[in-house]
Amino acid sequence: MRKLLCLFVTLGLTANVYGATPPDKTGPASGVEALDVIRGKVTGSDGPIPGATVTVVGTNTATVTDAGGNYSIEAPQGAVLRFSSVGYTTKEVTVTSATALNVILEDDDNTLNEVVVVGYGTQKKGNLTGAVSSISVKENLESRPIADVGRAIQGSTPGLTITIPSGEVGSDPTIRIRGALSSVQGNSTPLILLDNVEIPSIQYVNPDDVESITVLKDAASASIYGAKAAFGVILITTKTGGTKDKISVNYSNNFSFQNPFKEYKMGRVNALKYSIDALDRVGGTAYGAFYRVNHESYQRAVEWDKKYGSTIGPNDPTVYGRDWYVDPGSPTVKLGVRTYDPYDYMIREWAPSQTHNMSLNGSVGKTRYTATFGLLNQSGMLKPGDSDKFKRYNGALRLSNDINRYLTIRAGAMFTQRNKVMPYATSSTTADPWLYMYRWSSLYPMGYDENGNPIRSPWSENMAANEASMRHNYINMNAGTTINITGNWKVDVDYTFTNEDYSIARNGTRFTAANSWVAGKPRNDADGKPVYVNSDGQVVSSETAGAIRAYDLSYDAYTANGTNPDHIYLRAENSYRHTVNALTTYDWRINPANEFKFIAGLNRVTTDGKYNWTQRTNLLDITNPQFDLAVGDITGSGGVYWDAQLGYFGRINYVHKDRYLLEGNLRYDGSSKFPADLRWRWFKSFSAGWIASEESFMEWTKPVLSHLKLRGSWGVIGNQTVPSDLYVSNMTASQILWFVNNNRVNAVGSPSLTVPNVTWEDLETLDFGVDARFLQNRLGITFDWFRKTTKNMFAPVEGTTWTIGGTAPLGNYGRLTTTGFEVAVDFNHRFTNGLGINLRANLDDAKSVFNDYTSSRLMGSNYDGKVYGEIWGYETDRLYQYSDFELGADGKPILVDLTADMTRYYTSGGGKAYQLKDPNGVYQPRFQNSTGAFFFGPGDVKFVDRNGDGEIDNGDGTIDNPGDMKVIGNFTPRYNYGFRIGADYKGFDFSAFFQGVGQRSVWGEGFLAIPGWHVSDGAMPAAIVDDYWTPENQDAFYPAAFNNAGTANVNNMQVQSRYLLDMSYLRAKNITLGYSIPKNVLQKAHINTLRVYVSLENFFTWDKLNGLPIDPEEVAGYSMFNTTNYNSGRTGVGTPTFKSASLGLQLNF
Amino acid sequence: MSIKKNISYLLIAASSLLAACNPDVLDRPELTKVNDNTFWKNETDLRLYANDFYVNYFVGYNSSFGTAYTPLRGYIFADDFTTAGTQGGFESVVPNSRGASTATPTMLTSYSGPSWNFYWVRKANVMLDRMSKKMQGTIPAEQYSHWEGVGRLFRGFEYSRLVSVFGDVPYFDAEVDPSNEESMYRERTPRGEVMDKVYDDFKFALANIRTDDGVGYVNRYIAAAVISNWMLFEGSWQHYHGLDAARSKKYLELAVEASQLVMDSGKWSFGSDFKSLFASENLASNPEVLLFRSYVSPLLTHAIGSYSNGTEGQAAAANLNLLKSFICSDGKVWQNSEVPNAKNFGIRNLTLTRDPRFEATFLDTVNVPAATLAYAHKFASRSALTFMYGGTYPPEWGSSTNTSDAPIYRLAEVVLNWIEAKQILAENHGGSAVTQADLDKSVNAIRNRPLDAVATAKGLQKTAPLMLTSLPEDPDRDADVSPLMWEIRRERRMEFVFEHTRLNDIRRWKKLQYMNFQKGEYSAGPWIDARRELATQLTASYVSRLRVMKEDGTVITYDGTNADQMVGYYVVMNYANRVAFTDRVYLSPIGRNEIQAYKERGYNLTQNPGWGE
Repeated sequence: MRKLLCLFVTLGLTANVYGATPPDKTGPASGVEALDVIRGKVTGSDGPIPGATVTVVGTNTATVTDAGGNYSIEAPQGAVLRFSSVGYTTKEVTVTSATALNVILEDDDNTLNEVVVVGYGTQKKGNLTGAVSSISVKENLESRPIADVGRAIQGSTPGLTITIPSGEVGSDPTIRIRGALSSVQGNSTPLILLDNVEIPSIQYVNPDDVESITVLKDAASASIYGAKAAFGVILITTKTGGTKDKISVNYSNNFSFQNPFKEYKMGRVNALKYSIDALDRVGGTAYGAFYRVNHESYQRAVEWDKKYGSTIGPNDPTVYGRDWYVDPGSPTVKLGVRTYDPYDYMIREWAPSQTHNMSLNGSVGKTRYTATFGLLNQSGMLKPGDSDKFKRYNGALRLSNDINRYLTIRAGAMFTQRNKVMPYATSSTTADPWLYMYRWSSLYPMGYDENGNPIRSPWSENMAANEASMRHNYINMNAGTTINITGNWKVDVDYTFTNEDYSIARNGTRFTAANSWVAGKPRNDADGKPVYVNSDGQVVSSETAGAIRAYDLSYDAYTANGTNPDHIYLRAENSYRHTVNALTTYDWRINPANEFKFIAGLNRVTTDGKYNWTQRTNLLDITNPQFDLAVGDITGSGGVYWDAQLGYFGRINYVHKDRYLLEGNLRYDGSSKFPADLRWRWFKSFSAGWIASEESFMEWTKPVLSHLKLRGSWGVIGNQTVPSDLYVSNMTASQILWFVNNNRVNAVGSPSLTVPNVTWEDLETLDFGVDARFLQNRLGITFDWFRKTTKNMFAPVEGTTWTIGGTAPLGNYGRLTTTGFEVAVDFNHRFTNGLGINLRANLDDAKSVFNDYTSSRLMGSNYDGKVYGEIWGYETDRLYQYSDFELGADGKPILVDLTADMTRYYTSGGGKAYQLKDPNGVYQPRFQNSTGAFFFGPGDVKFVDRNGDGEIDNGDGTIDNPGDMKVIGNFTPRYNYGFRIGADYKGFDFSAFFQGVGQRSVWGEGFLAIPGWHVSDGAMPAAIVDDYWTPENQDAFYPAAFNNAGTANVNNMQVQSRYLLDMSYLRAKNITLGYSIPKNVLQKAHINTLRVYVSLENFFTWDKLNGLPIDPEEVAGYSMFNTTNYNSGRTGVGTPTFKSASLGLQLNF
Repeated sequence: MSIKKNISYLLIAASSLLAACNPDVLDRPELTKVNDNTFWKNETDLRLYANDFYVNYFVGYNSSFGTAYTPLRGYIFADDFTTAGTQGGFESVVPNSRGASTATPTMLTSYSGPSWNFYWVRKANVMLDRMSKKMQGTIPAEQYSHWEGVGRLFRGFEYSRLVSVFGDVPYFDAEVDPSNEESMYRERTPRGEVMDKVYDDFKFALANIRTDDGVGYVNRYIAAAVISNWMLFEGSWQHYHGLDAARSKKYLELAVEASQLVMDSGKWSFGSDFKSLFASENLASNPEVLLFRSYVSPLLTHAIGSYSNGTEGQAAAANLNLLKSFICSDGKVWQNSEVPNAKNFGIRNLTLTRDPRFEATFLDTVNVPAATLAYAHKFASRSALTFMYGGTYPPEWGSSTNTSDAPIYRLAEVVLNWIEAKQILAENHGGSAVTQADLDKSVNAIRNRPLDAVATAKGLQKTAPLMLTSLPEDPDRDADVSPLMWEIRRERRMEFVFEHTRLNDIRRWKKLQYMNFQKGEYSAGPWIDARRELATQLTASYVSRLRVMKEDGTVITYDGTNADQMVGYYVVMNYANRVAFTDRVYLSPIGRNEIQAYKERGYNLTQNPGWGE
């Protein structure tokens, strides 16, 4: 079948040559027709229109107007000339006898005539039948301090969800179209096409280079892209070709300064108080990893804060006796007194960044050219080491040439280098400096000790570190041709070669610092006599009252030779891709009432990649890490990967009477990911539209309703984004940590469990939409409802249990149904006084439900009807108070043995509880699971006995008997919205763009989200330690202090409604004020346009996190370094999200 | 412009497209992995496959800061150890899930074993299955039977561990098909039936594994050491838990047989001093060690030496009950020993009067990083201790960069398994009585280890041999344990302290009641005179925190003025007994979700006794 199809496409391309009838004498494309040269001037309301397109309708003859709006074109008498220019209504004029034809174009505020880039072609916006959004480049990409297109278009388009997981510069935003999840396996990321070729990262695109962005959201519009388009498509086209002989130069720049978007406020003395309260409750003696706190040192810390809190700052060295001391009764124990804020040491404030872009456009003869250059130099938020930076260089050249009327050739080259550099202090991605910054208590010193040595800390290590870099070089070379067989029949063939080089270099070092991780060393004077200090750190004689033996931190080279990061590491990866797109397009206009358009083509993509890495330990010279200057072990590995997709497609568009629109797509796709007999599959899609407002019976609505279109679409796309060996039982081979005679041993792992008949996953989308415009097109509303059904979903085989002894294999199981809606509203108006305003707003929502996947009813399974992202938890009633308990003579609750009257749990297991006053009170023994030392008492969480059975539990763990649990939230971003207000007046322009998420919940993990997460490590946000329950603060939000020792879901901190993080937010994404210098001023300097602006990005955020130092947009555990377990999945520990203030200019001459 | 040109353009385009159409482009199999269908060719393949087992079963000192299955850091939940504050309790809640399928060693501390994880069962079953399907007759019979023995040894090992944690577990001797519910949702096989299968595997392994397969690889003797451990565990469990006398006998006899194989081989001897077993950079030439894990910086290092270096904290440290259990060097218990100062529990005196292993295990001064002040330096070399108090440790003894080799199996374990199994057989199953010669080959051979130079310099003596004719009379002996058995158990406790045995020993002996720390000696450490040994704590900040316990059990709390009364057993700070527990903690509960998953599909997974809630 596929051979036949292949033959058909190929022959289709050639057959038309053999079958080509000699050009019809009367046809418009005739080469022998007598032509006149028509000349004229195109003007608009502001004077001559340069760059307007003049086309002879029905032919490929076209030209553009020069700077003075003048044109000349050859056309036969009676031909129709079409004059078009962005912002003006297109006008068609028939050539009469005159050879001079001046045309005046009307201003156009009718967006329906905009041409939108769609799959392998363009379409008039008014004639779209699929769910397609085009994004305004001008509004979203220009004059903003943003690093990439992804960040720029966040919030701009309904159905397009962009999340920026952290403030890490150089990282990719996550992009989803219609729902957070479309398939439980692989990824759900849309296909990003740059000029019809897949681009591996949106970071490669220079925002300044972008001509248009279109988002294809439903299967009907995306399916023509086949295999990789299952999760939607983002089409980006680049600016091509100047149209004037004179060179046009554009230059723009932006200088910005970045600061954390909110105050990252950590607890200081109050955090120590929390520790002491927890200590008393647990029955310990001291908390802390390297600097401990006990009752005595806490009192000293309180005094220190009073005495020095306002005078000693981050630049003051840490002094023994004053800031810390050694417990003389336990000389390995260091006790801290001074509190520090790691923010002062770790975070760069007002980090500078800049961008510069330049482009040249023009034409020489029949050759049009565009050359663009871009530079981005962005500072990261990590202060020590001064090398957290991201740089990008872009260069592109695009040429096209009309060799003759039949043949256009084009070629382009693009180069992007992205380079992220940072201090290389550790290779760990599960505990990097950002985790360590908020791991230890406020007693943990940074900065220098009194001997001038840096104190071992993430600060000192980043300062001392050499650089690591993650560098991508991306090259895209393309060549293509358009063959115009007849005026309405053309063939496009494009070939693109892309190459991506990715290298990671890690230049390690060995650290030397005042070693705060080990016991201090007794300090002796030059004569070897013991030194004593007082509580201000001053040296005194040993007899002085309060004198204590002085200690120093041991100044150590504490990185053992060869251990992390004493190494040099280099990883090189190269992948290249060949993409062939070939298609033929035939426009068949039977009569004005019946227009057809046919496309048939093929698309072939092959990807090949390989990588290898080498590491050598034990650097000879830590200031110059080199492979040959390292003497330790050499380790290394590498690998290759490849895959291919081949697809044949066809599309038919039919327009009847300009109001009935039909489109059908068919695609035959093959992928290398599946067994040979299951590789190929047909996918089809249809869409239809009805422009009701064109009907005569709707004429009466015209004064208000300018345009009304109803549309619907249905289609299926295949997804194949899974590993290529799912159907093969493979085993991995590797070196293991077992040595024989000092040599590492190799081993082969267990064969993977497999389902042999793995094949395509089918994503079916049904979409209904309405486009309406009112008031002479000034107000527009677009609404879409959709249902996306993922069938034959890639998922682990259902219903396995642990006895299979491995990861359940992936096959095609179950169904995920995502339903949602999208609304967009826009309004444009220009007042007679010249004030123009425009408003845009959009809102979308989607939710995904599992069906037919598993018969299990367990809450944790993907049971029938489960909403993706749902969080099961308990409902919090309130905090217990003293009045809830029977109190003993000492005023404290009484610990009693659990009996069968009180609970059915642990009455035989030695369980105890504080006796409740209410004889029918509900005990909560199932949560007292911190090896028994935790009992619910005053200040602890009281849960709601939802099912009234007298127990707080999760029933049998199923949704049918969930005990007292219920769905308390959903971690997917819901109700995404954005709105923009713009205005311009007399050269001034202003815009404010807001973006937000209406609903998202997260059950936090780690220090920053969970009170008492790990008290012996110690870090705690001020928001928690300023408002936890104590006998003095019984009205607190957070429960009484306890140390949960790093364990999730224990004691008070069961997943529950009260402490579920509300991650909804609203951000002032961008506020820009610009001024365009009047043209008459500029003319003297031969400048066409000059605009200066100031722009604020992310400047205001409204969230509901009660002051927790967490970005509501952040995704725990996700970063560019580790996408699954970054910083051990802890909430909020990553590069802080930043806001920026910037200014810049845009210049054209 | 001619049509001809157009034609040629199109021909070029068309022919290049024909090339693009070649569907063979889609044949792109994974290249970086080994295929199950084409693997299993020869002995090299089998060795590669089997190597994967090693890091799981022979954890040694683990790696980096890993604690699972490590001495001192992983095996700290036992009656030997006390922590400051409230003692860590047994599990008190049935977990939602106990399942795992990870290949990384993970450990349930209070059961000394793995989770509900069948990864290694499958690994072994796949090996045996592929061998029988693809290699029978294609590789020499000797190779075949050796590797079948290896596969069955590891399968038996895993089932022994699973049984030790869960009791009854579903038994599989073939790979489970993930699409076959019937086989996957198998009910728990009764413990005895599982262990009979394990017994068969072990018997086969013992008969077929090579006696020598190169240094660092499993051979028949190493297999015998594995078997001796697990057959003693199960044989004694069956006996003391009153399960099945016949099985108890059968397993214990295999424990004896396996141990005997090692002992009779003459390949190993007690030629090494005690400390060298645990703190040597290279164990390759140690005459007592059958198998060790080799640590090579920087690729594989550990932190066990660091946690024994005198400075790192020992939150769980030796309590007085353990200190009291050490035999005096005259072979008698402290109550009736004739060694001078035998009743003095000052730490320095203990190192001088007790079995020399005490000195090789504990510092001879009180050391506050240990919660009980009795600091274990068993896993650090003597030179490591010179860096105490603010010194800068070399990587070998600091941080996670230690490179001392970890002993996995050593002769002492084999002989103590052997003598205990023999004694249980003798007492309960009509086995021949343990003779003096038996003791001389086991307990007394261990006691006759050479002493290192430091011990000799301190004037330590080897402990007098254990004589059948004059067994120590321990007033603290449990009434239900014979005097000889009591001494065999004591020998294990002294020999293996901080290693992997203690919790499993008291579990199999049905003596988990030892974990109820009611008696004062569990709250205390060695005898101290605070004015002399802990003067630095006689300060205001230790008021009401520093406590000692007198001989009669009264506790004196430091009040700032009674320094001269602060003489007695050191009482651990803020000590409190662990939360009460019942016999259900002998076995781990099965996860609630696992039981529910069975139920949903009409199968039955039973819960362990006492966990029904």
